Parts: sequence; structure tokens; C-alpha cells
Amino acid sequence: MAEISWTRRSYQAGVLLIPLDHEARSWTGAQAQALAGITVADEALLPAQRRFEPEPVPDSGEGRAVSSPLDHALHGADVVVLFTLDLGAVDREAVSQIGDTARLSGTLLGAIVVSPGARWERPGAHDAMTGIREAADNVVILKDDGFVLPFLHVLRGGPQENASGGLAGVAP
Amino acid sequence: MLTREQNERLVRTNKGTEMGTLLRRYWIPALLAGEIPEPDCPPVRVQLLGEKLIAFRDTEGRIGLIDEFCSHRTASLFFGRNEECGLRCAYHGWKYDVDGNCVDMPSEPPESRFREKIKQTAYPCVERGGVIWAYMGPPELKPEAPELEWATLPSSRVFISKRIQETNFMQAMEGGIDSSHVSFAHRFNMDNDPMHAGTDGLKYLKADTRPKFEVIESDGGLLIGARRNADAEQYYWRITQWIMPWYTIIPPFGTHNPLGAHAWVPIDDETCWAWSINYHPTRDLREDELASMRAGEGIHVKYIPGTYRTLANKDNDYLIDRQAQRDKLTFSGVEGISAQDFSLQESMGPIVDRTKERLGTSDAAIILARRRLLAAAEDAADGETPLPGELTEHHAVRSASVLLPKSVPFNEGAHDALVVRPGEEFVSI
Repeated sequence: MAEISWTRRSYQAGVLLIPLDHEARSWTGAQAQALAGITVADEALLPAQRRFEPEPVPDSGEGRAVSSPLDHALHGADVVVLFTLDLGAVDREAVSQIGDTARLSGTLLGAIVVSPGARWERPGAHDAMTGIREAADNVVILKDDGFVLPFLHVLRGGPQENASGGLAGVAP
Repeated sequence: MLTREQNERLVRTNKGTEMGTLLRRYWIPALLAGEIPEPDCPPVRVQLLGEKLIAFRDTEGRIGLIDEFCSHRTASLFFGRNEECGLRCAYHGWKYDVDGNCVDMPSEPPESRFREKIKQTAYPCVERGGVIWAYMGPPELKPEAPELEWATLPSSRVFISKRIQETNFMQAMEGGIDSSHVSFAHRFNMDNDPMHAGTDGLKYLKADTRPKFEVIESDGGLLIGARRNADAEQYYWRITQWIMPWYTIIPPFGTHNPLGAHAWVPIDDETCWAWSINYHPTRDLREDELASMRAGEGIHVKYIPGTYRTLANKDNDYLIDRQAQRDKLTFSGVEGISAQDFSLQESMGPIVDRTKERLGTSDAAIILARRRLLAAAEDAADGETPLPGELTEHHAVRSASVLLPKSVPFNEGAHDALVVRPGEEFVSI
């Protein structure tokens, strides 16, 4: 994954969006233009296939070594948002590791779960939801994807004029 | 955070505005039934969504809510005579019935049919739960009368108060769905308040001061869950209901205490009515509870006598007591849970500039409530029906406070507790 640059304007938070499943990754790909100002993690960032051991925070609380792509990405973000459109396809272990890393980085961790009703009964969905609940500081469960973009742009803050154009559910 | 244009769309409620069109699609708590207690009693001024109106109860007990100003020379009908099934203007004697028809025009020749061409704006009203509700929208889209649980109970089980708040209604309502402020603004009041004391819920609340929030879109609004660690296997969930467009139900403490609820209704763009309701679905309120509510405790307030303006208000800095603040008797120095809320909300100005705020993940409910209202306003502009919060099944919900296994989603684990079951106890610890 290319190195993330966290330059920003005042009052604008660095928001890192982590799609947790294939469908969510497709969605973020399709919404690339509307996600301007939001950094979207690619699949390589997910620690699903390997165990990431977060480094202990040194006593000074500063200058912690950044040693993995995930750690590196979260190090500069103010808010990390997990995003799933298919709970049954979410790897709970990956969620747990992101949660650990976010905690050590002092980064806020939110989660957006879309349409749980349709997919709630799939194997692993409840387990994934429990993992998300344990990891995240805040969870939002939406009926559909209509409010995802506005929600992310509010978390991002900063000038909203560009973000408001064409947002689903909100006329420009 | 919103753009300036979005903020304007959200807060302006006069006739013809986008939000005004939306809010007129719902039954509106207009006044206390006790304000016009009997047939032919004095009329009262009522201002809603920027419209100045007059409420009266005619000789047969029917309720009228009509334009305050006479169609003739625009004198205020507040000074009118409520007599013989109509309200008569004191200036030239034009008289209107509850439907706004001009039924007498003594200043014109008796054979004149001019009065048949005169129609004073009039809105239909219903009386439920000690409140007179008005519908100010298109007649063909009028929904069924409100079925909020507190509006359906016998009067002996409900206590209702209202006060004027000097902010836009959104600002006040956002305070009601902002669960994270409770741990700060009301920090030192929980032990003393009889509505909280002696419950397991309070124990969990104090043991874990960093709740995590989960917000779920419901059919009628939002479910806002605040969870705290109870033990190794369970979370303690406090679940607030937000019902569109302006109602909240507060999660209870124990079942021996009454439930609490609010409604925030625009008077105009810079003031609103803050309605506060305590109710118990299965028993009458006790005299000691009523005495405390009448005295302005809990979610109610003390008034400047003869008005709905609060005794603690912005002109006296809400009677802030710095010594009480230092002594940790109150967190903000302002006395009373309600005053602690509105003092801070009014300090933001009558209409907060939402382009300047910086919201975080703990503000998820506020972010979503705004988006749902803006989206519904678009639907209302297109004449769509039903809108969220319009159907009576959207009203028949309860808040709850429950212990649930950590693996159980709160909306599933508390599913039965979150709907009204008439005559049955609510669920709370």
C-alpha cells in the first residue's frame, strides 16, 4: 500500500476508512470520487492472514516505532472507521487486531455496519459483530448505504462544500 | 458539522420552508389541555413554527386553533369574546367558529353574504394525554392521532410540563439524543435525584464512566444504545428512543421510578417549547413524585410565576453557583438537570453555527438524526407518505435499561422491551 500522507486543513480530521469485506471494498471503489478527503485502506492493510503484535507504548508515550502497514496507517489517523456491507464475511481476528492497534495509537475507532437484517443470520455474522463491538468506540448500524458518505464527511470535518455535492440522501 | 446551507435547511421552520413542510406533516403538541380548561374560557395565544395562533374551547367543548389576527382589520383575537360557539373579534364583532368559518359579521348589512367568503386559517386539533395536538399540514395527508405511550395513559399516571427554551428546536433536541453529555453535565446529580437513587443501573453507570455507543436506524427514528461493562459476561445497556421528528424517551432507572420523555417543538426559529413528561405505564404517580415534579425537580423546572419562562435563565446566568461547582455539588454550577442542559444549549446562541463544530464518533446519533430529518424533508417536499415517525407503530415504543450477554446485539436482546405492551411493566434495572 502506498504511504499515506496526512496533510490536512484545520478542523479536518484524518479519517481512515477500512472496508472489512469484498462488498465494502467494491463500494468504496465505486464511490472513490465522493470519498475525496477520506483515506481508504486497501486490502493489503488488513491483518487477516497474519498475526500482528502491536508494539508496547514506550514510557514517554512518544516516538513509538512504526513497524507494520497497519500500525503505520493508524499512527497518523485521527479516526479509523471500520466498514462492512457483509457481516458474515468479516474476519473477527482482523477486527480485533485493528482495535488493539488503534487503542495503542490513541486513535478513535468507529464502525459502520450496513443492512444487518439481510445478512445477520449468515454464519459468523454475530461473531463478527461481537468483535466489532469490542473493538470500536462507537458503532453505527444503518438500514442501507444512504448515510455512509455524509457520516464519514462529518467525521472528517473541514470545508464541506465539495463533500455535499451529490451525497446520497442529502441534496447539494 | 454541516454546510451553512444545510444548517439553514435544518433550522428554518416557517411555512414554505423545507423543514417547516416536514414538521407540518406530524401532529404537533400545541398546548396543555389545562390552558383552555373549560367551554368558553379565555382564549390563549399559541405560536408554532413561526405562526401566531389563538386556541380556544367553544361552548360545546370543541377546540379551535385559528390565526391570531382577524381577517377584517387584523386585530388580535386574543382580545376576543369566546361566546356562543365562536370567538368574536372585539374590534368590529366578526365571529369565527373552530373551523375558521366566519359565522357572524355584524358590521355588514344583514342580507350581505360577504361572511361566506371569509375563512380564517384554522388547524384541526385532538386532545390526548392532557395535551392539545394540532395538525398544520395538508388535510389529505393527516396521519392518525399520536399513540405515544404517555399520550394514551390515564391522567393519574402522567405528569407533563413545558417551558420556553431560547434556542432553535434542533439545538434543544440534539441535547436529548446526546447521551455522552450525561457523564459530565449531570455528573454530581445522579445520587441526589430520587429518580435514579438506589438502582442497580446507577451502580453500573458510576462504575464505568466511559460508555461506548451504538446507534441503529429504526423505522421511526433511531435507537441509541449506551453500553457499560457490567461483569465479565454482560454489558449494561441504556437504550434511548428518538422518534421523528422531535420526541425522545429516556432510559429508565429501575421499574419503581416513572419513565421520562421529551418533545421539542419550534415556537419560531429562535425559540422552542421543551416538553417534559414523566409517566408510569402500570401505576398512578405517587403524591411525593407529583410534588417533586410540580416543584420543578428532575426533568421539570421552576418558573417565573405566571409564565413558562424558567426562573434560572440567561438574564441571570442561570443562577450559577460557583461554590456548588467547587464543592462538586453540581458539575456546571447550575442547579437542576433540565437547567444544566438548557443553560449550555442556550450558551451556543439561538441558532448554533454548525459549520464551526467538530463532531466525533460519540456524536453519531446527532449526525444521523440530522441526516434523517434532511432526507425526510426531501421526501415530504415530494409528498411522500408515510414518513418516519408518522405511523402509530412508530410511536408505540419504549426505552429500556437491560443487562445482556456481550455477544447479543442490544436491539435483538432487548427487542421485546423496546415496544409498548399495554398494561405491562417496562424493562429496567
